[in-house]
Amino acid sequence: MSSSENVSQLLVKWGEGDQAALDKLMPLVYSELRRLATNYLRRERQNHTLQPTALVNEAYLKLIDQKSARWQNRAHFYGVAAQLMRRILVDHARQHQAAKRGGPSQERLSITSAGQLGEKPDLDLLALHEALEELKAFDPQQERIVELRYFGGLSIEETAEVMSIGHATIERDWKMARAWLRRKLE
Amino acid sequence: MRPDRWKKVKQIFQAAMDHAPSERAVFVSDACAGDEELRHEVESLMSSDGRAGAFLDSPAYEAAAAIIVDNKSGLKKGQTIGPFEILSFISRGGMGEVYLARDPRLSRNVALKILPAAFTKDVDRLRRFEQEARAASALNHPNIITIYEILKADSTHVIATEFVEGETLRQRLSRSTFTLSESLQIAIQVADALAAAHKVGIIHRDIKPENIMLRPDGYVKVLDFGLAKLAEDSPDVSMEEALTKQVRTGSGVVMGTAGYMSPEQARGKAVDARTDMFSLGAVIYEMVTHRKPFDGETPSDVMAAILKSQPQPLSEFFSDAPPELSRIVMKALQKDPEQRYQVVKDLLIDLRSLKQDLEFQEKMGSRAPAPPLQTATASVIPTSSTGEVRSALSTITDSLTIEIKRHRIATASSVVLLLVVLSAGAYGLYRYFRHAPVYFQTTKVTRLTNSGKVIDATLTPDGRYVVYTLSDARKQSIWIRQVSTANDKVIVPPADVGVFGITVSHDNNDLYYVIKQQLDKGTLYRVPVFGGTPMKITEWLDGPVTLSPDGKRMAFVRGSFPAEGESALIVANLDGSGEQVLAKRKRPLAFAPIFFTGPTWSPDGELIAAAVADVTGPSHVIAFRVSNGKETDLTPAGQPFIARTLWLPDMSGLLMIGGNSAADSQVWLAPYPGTCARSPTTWNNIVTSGCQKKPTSL
Repeated sequence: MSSSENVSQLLVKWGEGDQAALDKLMPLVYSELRRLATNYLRRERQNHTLQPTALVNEAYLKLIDQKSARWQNRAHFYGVAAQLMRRILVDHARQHQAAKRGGPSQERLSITSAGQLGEKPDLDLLALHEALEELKAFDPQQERIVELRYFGGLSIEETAEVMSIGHATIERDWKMARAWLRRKLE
Repeated sequence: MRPDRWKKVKQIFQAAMDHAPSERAVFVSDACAGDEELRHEVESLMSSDGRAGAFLDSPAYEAAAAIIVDNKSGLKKGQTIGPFEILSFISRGGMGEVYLARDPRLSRNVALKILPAAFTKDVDRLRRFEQEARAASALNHPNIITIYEILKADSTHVIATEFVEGETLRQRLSRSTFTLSESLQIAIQVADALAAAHKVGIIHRDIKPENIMLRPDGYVKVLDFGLAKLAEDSPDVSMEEALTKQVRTGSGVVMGTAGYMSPEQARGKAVDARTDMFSLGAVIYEMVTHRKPFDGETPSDVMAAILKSQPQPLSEFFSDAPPELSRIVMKALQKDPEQRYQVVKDLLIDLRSLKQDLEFQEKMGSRAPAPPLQTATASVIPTSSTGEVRSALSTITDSLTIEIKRHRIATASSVVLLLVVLSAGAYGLYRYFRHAPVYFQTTKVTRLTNSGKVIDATLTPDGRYVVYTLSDARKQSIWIRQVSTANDKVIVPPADVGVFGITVSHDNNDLYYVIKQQLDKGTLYRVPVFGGTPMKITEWLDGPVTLSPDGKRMAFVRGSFPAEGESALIVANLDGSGEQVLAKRKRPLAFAPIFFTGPTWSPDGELIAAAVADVTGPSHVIAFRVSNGKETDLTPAGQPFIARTLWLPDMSGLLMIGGNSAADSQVWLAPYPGTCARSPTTWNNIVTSGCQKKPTSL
């Protein structure tokens, strides 16, 4: 079984609600993203910025057998990628926090220095993560939108496509979720 | 918050957002219908939404990608790959991860480089890389790292090389500074490695401090021959990508820079061995100044700098930088490969000579030339600022003028000095007129000889040697001196003759010189520049010859010809055959050489400039068209005294030495075709001739 068939099937399974499929998917997607990200970061890009969805698109094309791909695969794949990104960042922030607790001699890693987030340096990623968990409890759709937009780097249009929801709704939900998160975090 | 409550908040918030901002408060108040808590909730979200500043605007995507990359990969201590056992992680660069590993078969440690999969997909390219890497290793050069094995273990390609204990030049640079001598030692070893590799056709393509290992015992090892090519050829990884950035481990991901890439590489053009020259130049520059010659905030800025800007002079950061070092580095850093050293071997020779020179000076207890040698330093010209160009040039001539006044008796030697400066200045002026940044660096005017016996001098076209005539005890001789080493060698031994004019062929190989035993009846000889048997070419010359740009013909002046009281400008083949009179003059006018003045063939081959003396008035420099003899006076105002002339490479004018007399001469610029447009003013001492009624005196 080639890895692309593997990924396609796992995506379908995950789409059907099989959470174990996600755990199998993550390392596959991760290794492909890692390879692509390495290339991307080495490549000359305008303003150093990665084309937000280019990575995922590329990983998707590499991992999925396009002949047998269904459009849902793509949506699911973006979902996996966004979740993966979120998980990586949160793990990283936790490690960072642990390191800070370890004392001043520990290596200090900041998200912004690592990736030039373009955000205020004090954006607390763990707080954001926890707020999102809270948001998920009463508005899972908004939480998903934030995940896809912020962690997955999707545009409004792409998010709309992936979630099969109209633009206008995505835009309004995004606006509100952002307002709520901002109030929560600031 | 309860979902149903949230639903209500959402409904009102989103509906309010559809209203104009001025109407929102009223709308919300109405919609909440007295539910103050609801109103407060909605209003507070609205206020949060309206707050200035970025929030979640740029995706965390990039940071995540960076972290993914930064996560140290796979191989752990104790793991085996092929026959090798991993001992520890060493580094990660754009070209793969490097581990310290043990080869149990030979009980030795190796450095194991894991090639990224992207580089190894194409089997043919991989094979070519292997060949190249092995060929470099097979040179058995002390400064090239030895490759033990290139193998495929599972699906991974690895290179096992000699494990070099020590640090990379990059690590060393970030830790401490270098002395000049240390920098030269490193540079020489790298150049030596490159020269050996280039000789067998291997180009490194990625010379940078990360690829240069320094052993504690002072040995330098160049890593990764051929690897850049592999990366360049790989379909997934562009050259740019492979060379521009390298991802460093440590605190976050740091973008490396493209700082060592040659302009042709940056443009993605085909490269040859001269690309390594440029990169090495950049590395030397950084060792000496602790700065990159081309830097910028982003890789794009760096790339732009490589393509467009001139590096700051070495002396900006290192005031003691020897001018020769600046010359070497700046020559290696020329944007146009044609302007660089053509082979690393030449760079190596210059570096070695400089090192010897410095060591010698150190032994003598001083870096500066000992008195009574005099040195004049002209100001630095970091940019194309015209004011500075002028001041630099005028400083040169100021100092020359001082020389002239100081040595009234030895006027000839002063003129000699002017001649050399004239040759050196022509290129700078040429650049100036082309509006390109002029790089004089610290233009140091240094007396090359102190005997007062030098009567004529010329630079070889490659600028590396001075050929000069010595007059001592009634005997004259011709010598050659390597500029960088001050090494003298006799070309034509002393004899009781007069040497009138020395001309070096465009290929730097042959010297043409004129020996006179009686007035205006000189004999032209040719001799290899580094000595040999002189060949007689032709007779009856009244001064030096000038060679056509294609090197096929020569021109000279013949006195008392065609008739007594006349003189002629003659064009002939290099072997003396096929003489043609291009122009002639009758007394009181004459093509009369003063201080070895000869005609000057223009760079485009179409014109020959020659000085015409007038016993009743000032002399003029006339340009004669080779095809039809048509004349243009380049100095309408005339000059009482005219010595050597020299065309600017772009034909925009002619530099000449002129003035009231030999003891009162300056460097002049005569614009061609005679307009004053580009030289509106009198430069302090470099005067524009042909534009004014009268030349401005000192």
